[in-house]
Amino acid sequence: MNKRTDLGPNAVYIVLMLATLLSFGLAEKSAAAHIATSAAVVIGAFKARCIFVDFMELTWEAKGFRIAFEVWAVLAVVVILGGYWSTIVHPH
Amino acid sequence: MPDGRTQVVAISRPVALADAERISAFRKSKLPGVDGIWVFITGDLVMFMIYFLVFTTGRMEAPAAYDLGRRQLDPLIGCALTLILLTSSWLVVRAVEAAREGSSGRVRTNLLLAMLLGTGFAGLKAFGYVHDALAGHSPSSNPFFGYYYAITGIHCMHVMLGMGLLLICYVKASKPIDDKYVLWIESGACFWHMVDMLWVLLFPMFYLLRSGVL
Repeated sequence: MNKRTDLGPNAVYIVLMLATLLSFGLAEKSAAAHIATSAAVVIGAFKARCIFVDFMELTWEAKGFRIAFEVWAVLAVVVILGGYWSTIVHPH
Repeated sequence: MPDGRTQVVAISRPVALADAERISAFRKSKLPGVDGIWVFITGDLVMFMIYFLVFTTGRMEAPAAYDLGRRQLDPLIGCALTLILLTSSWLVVRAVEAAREGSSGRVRTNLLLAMLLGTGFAGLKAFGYVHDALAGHSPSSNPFFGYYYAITGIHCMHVMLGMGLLLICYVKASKPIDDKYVLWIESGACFWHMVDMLWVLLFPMFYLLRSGVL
């Protein structure tokens, strides 16, 4: 009824942990601050997507909710990074 | 003339049948848990999207002040909070799987560990708040901290509510597991995962947005 991706929750958990460490390492250590920061936010949205697909078992069978969650994840990146980049491209 | 015991059976049977039909109807749902929890979760996501928007708009007006505020936070604490919440979510997934297999012992073990980690999250967040407050960062000292305390505070209240739901599931698991219980734990789990899902975006937004000029 509610099939997840082929990875399974244990593998997804490891991916989520590694993605967290990667985003932390990128944002803290990388010299290219803007790219690293953007990557950290995109990784955050990717993790959110993994959670609603694999942990919450939100499949395409529930099309309305799935579309809403996919749009939410994309919109979160657009809002956070849109504001972030606007201050870089057009500084006060 | 039937005795008292027979009468109880006669009354309870239609109730049990009605429950079974209701549960069966839920089982046909395309989502885990009861549908109502998904409406609630979607509403919460919309609310947090508005918070993202308000924070970002504020940051656009005073990026230097927000960057100054962000640099006062310890990103290591943010990273640790994320790892704690992700592990807790994974344990809740294992608890749901155990419930579907009818193993109440595994359900209780996984829920207990998940709640301990949830307590760890709340404790570490409280430590962070105290640390920031002692360093002189109040909600009025910098616009960044105003939003930081407000949004992460609301998120912490969701953590508390989620732990309450997990505690109810933990207590209910002391009885034999049935379909109705599975619906309960699936609903509680979905709420807990939403709390996790929100944090994985709050973490980069508050702790990792490094500014600079191209």
